[in-house]
Amino acid sequence: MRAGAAWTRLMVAVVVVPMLVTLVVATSVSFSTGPFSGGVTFDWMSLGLELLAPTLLRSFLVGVGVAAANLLIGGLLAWWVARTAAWPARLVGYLANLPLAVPGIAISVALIGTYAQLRPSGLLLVAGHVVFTLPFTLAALVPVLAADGLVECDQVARSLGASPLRRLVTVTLPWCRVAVLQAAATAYALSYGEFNISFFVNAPAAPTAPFALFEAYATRRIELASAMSIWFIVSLLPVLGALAALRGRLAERSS
Amino acid sequence: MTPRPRATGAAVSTPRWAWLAAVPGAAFLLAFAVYPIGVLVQNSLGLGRTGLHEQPGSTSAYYRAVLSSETVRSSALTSIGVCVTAVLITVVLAVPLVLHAAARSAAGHDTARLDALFTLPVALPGTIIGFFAIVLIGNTGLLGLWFAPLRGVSYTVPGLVAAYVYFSLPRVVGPLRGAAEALDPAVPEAARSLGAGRVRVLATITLPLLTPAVVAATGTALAIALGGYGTIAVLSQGVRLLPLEVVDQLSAAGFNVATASATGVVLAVLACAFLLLGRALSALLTRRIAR
Repeated sequence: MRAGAAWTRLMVAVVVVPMLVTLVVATSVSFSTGPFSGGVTFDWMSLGLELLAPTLLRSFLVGVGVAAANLLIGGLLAWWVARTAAWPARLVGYLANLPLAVPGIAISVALIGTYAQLRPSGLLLVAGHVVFTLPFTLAALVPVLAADGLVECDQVARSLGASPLRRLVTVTLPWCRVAVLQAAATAYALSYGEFNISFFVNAPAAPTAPFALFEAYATRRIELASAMSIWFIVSLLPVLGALAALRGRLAERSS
Repeated sequence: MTPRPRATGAAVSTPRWAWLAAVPGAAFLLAFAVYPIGVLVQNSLGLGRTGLHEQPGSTSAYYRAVLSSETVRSSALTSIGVCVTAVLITVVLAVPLVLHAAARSAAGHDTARLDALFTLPVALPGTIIGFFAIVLIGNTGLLGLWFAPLRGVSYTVPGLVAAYVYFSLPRVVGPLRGAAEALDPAVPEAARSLGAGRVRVLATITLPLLTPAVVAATGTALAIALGGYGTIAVLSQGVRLLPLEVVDQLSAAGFNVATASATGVVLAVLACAFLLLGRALSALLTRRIAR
């Protein structure tokens, strides 16, 4: 147990130290002469935020759109897959998992080779992100929607004469509220940091945050690039916090 | 395709119009996943769009060119070497971690914050992980400032392995965390009460029970690492990995749609092979254990 605790602490360090070092670089006046050798500054941080802010907003909007699309088409699809014992449901399940097996960069080449005309508007980017996140939405929603308890409640409500719409609003949605929120937060977080599928399909005139970072890594000073990275990580924290809280709620309910 | 659900078992309360709910999702998947991948294969065979220097017409020439290209072959081998090494190291790092976390949560401790920390890097683009390597072991990296031999390692094979370990850690910890949590604590407890030592219980009970999940997670993590472009895109100063070849055919080397498509298909086949191999081996092991 004690060795396990020490190992866990070591692994926490492995995850956290690169971020801390990035923060040190971002607050050093000139890192190449050594950390903090010229003193501490927040100039890089404020310049980094200025440069990254418009793309963070864009990534936020794309993420919200992707999450909404996931809930709408993914939610309906998950409901059908959960309630259908026939082979088409299994087939659709396999198809939805295709993007897990095919690398993002290959899907990116496939999408740009098929729908190049959708690229400038950003529609192809959103569609690509939905393709990438849909398997996670199905994985979060199908087991919850297939739960015996829900099926039973639904049958009882039906036998008492509740309409399908009423059952959806008063039985199904409340039952899977936590899973729905979890699916939305996961889709948002994955879309927010997506780089592979985005590579050929992002709208060139309107880069998302990961692309602004990629460009900064190639062209900007290491201090400024670090500051931008820190802002990106900070901007991810709210949704990751929400995900952690939701996971706690799920665990509570199942125990 | 008109899916017509049969009313069996849990599907008793499913209305006749239920298949309508699947229409938007199925149509979307057909249009943006299945059809584009079909077009990708078509292009790679010279049957669809081609680049300026590529002749249209049915041919396997692009595949032959890709598979016989010295550059692609060495990139593929380096990719497999880097990713296999990185994922194996990740598994060794992750297993004690998930066992400890499972023991803590079984003892009633709250592990939510720990779990959140280890899932955070999933949402980071691969590019940031490449940048972490630059900040730590790049040409002016912090560790390199303190210990000169580590300077510039980020652009070499060991540096790439380190970056891909960071990339793979949350992708291995995630599934293994659930698998470790699901292990029945009664079995190791019984063995302990019969006098088996901690090490023996770990080696003969806990680890074998965890192995199917480890194998499946290894396959998935390998597939994701092989296809991951962001990390190598930032660290591409010398060592070449397979995703770079796909991208270069569409950008640096011109707009060679057919060659890029063929390279993309090769990459996809490799990733799929690792994923399916992991799943198949895992299923086999599970059946062995059940017997």
